[in-house]
Amino acid sequence: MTENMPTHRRPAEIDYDALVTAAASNMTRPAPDLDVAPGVLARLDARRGAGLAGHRLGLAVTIATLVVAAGAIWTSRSMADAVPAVTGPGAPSLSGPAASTPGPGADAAAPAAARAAARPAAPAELGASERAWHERRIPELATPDAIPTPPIQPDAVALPLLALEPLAPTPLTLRPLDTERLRSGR
Amino acid sequence: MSIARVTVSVATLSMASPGVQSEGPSRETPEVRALLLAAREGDHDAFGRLVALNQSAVFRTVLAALGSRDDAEDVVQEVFVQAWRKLGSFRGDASFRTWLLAITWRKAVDARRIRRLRWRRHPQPGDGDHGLPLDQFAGPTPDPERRAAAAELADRARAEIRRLSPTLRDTLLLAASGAHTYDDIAALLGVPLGTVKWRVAEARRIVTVRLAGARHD
Repeated sequence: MTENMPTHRRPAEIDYDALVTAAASNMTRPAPDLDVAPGVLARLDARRGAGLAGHRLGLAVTIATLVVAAGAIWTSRSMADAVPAVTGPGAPSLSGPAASTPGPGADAAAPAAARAAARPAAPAELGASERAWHERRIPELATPDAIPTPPIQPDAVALPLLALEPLAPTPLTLRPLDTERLRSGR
Repeated sequence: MSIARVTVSVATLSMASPGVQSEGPSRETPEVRALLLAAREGDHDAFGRLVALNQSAVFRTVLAALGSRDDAEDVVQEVFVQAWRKLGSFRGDASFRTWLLAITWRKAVDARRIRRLRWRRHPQPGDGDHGLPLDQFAGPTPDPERRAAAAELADRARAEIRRLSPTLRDTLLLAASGAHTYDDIAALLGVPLGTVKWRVAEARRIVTVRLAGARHD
């Protein structure tokens, strides 16, 4: 019967194994003009450009951070220069009742004046502002004996303890035994 | 990259770097070895030449996993970009091609999972018929009717392959791509060699039975 069939109708002519192999191979066959290299290199160039831009951005951020940090240091130093000029030995005298009332720092004023006289000279290479700051600050901070030590007052410590008096013993009061109640059994 | 430049690179490196054989990728041909060393030093042109040498195998591998040529080209580019980034970690324990195809398979499977790509029941234009080697099934003197029958048979064969489970389909397509040995496929998929052979045979059997069954219906 198959002899009468057209040639392409004969099932026996089909090599299914070869057909599957050819179809599977064809499904993964690249196009003849496949060329991914330009696309890959373009991506690599883009990455390199992005990396360079990122590097430059990072450098700019670093420089900006350094500038801000330097500004902050300069500002804090300027403020440190300004504070002793108001409250230090060279501060302008106050007027009014507050000026005549000796405060807690009054005792330290005299030693401070003595220390100011004993300060070493500031290095010559410093500027005027740094020189003034050095002369005011460095000896006070560098010499341990310059730190004022409050006097020890043992009595002040002992007084509160001595002020405590022993508590008087509380008398134990017992109610008298109700013998009548015990007897009655209620 | 010009051939002359590659040749110069080979000569220069072989003279200047006697330790290349011991520390570098000794499994490679001198040209590939020179290209690898140049690429490691940042030479894009050398890497472009490596891309050109391996793009076909990489493309076939990606296509076996994705089934879409448009998606495959994107993934192929991603594979090579990742290979460029990781080139410094390539120690030459395996060949560059094996190392590259391992990256390729991981990338392709990731792409398939991430994009939730589904095999298309009907081939898209451009998917499939690139020099279809199925003319043999149309006979020595194909008339239009025989050609149409052969094309229909080929379409059905591809459809049946797409209907396979991913496990069988991946293995069959990797084996049929001609870009891998069975040992390579076993390494790529992380299964024993015998499993690869069984999967290929089983995939062929299933597709054949379905094609023959449909023909006799």
